[in-house]
Amino acid sequence: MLGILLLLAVVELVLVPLVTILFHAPLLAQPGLLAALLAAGTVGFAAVGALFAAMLVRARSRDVMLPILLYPITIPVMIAGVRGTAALLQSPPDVASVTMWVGILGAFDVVFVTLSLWTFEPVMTE
Amino acid sequence: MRKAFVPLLLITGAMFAYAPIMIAHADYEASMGIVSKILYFHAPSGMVMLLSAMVCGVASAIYLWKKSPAADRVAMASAELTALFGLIVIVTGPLWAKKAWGIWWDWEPRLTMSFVGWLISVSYLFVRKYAGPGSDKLGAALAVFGSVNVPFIYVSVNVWRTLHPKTTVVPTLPPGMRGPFWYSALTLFLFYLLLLTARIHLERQRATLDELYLAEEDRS
Amino acid sequence: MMRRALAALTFVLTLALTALPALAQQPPTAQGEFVPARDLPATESIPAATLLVAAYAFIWVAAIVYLFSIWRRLNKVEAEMHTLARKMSQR
Repeated sequence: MLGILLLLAVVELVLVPLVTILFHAPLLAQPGLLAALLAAGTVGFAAVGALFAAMLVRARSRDVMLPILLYPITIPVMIAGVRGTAALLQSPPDVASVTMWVGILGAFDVVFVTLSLWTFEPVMTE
Repeated sequence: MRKAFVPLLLITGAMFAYAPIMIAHADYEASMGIVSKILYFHAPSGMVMLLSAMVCGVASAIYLWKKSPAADRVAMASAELTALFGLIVIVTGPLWAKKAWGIWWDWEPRLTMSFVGWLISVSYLFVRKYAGPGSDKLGAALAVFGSVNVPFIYVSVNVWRTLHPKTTVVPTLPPGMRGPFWYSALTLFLFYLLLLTARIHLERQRATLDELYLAEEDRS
Repeated sequence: MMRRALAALTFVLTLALTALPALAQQPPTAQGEFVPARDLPATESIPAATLLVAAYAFIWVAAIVYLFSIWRRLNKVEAEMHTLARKMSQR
């Protein structure tokens, strides 16, 4: 999971400035909140993605199974991330909304990381 | 549990037969008129769907940690029922919403989260059928994640001010509607138990068949 | 043969489904002035009773179809069990 996290973090480090420049988006107006939002979303996504990718290594038709498994679970995380970013991009940034979405993402993260760590062992061992 | 099937069938059948009479005599809701009678099956179906998702999650957790095949059968049956009752909720909801809100669907928190919960149960069925060896453990992990979705669905409508009625509507139903509502809830719950019994029986027969095949292979 | 038919069916369905949004977005001819909701022609809105009946009909159909599917699968499994038991006892 740490590997995925690192990869996603690097991608975000590159993408966020690019988006700010290319779309004239005031993303960096509230860097603290933006960092919190990105971190929470990334952790949630990485935890579930790592778990399911590892579980599917020995499964049949695993390329098709990964989206089927992953999309419904990551949809709430993505919705929260997108809405949080949207609130952040308003001028002036809607701090109350962003804080709420970061809170929701945090709740998802706690639940997903805990569940992923718990279920990893029983699923991967015979 | 198998012995309970026939009595359950009779009771549920009788309750279902009486339900339309009860619903027809129930009070009209002030602003929506006759369409609000969809409530009597829509909301209880939602309750049963959430219950079924929780049952599936708990059974899957038991299967993952205690490796009990009975728990796996319960999880499989409950997942199918989550998909069924979820489908009922997702179809009857828009039919009501078209009259009540003027739109078929809106991507608001409760509807989206319920739809996602339903998608998770459908994914579970796909995984169990097509993922090959190890699909039972995979599905179990998915079901565990699906079951933590349930509190989010329940809470989401109270946190955001949205189109969908809040959960506080149910305790404050007027007496004329309360009777039919809880009667329908009980009917649907018994129906859920009935279907669960039947489905678990099917899974158990499949397990017996597999054992028979294995025994036959051992002999030859 | 079956695969070709299935592929053809999928192709036609995809065409139809992608065409649907285009067709669905054809708005009815716009009205020129204000018309209060109660004066709208009855075809503008779906009658409530139809929706109610449709909802309950769907519930019944879904329940019956599901029960029927369980019954069919159970019959198949039990038939296999009987043939297997017979084969084993013949040995």
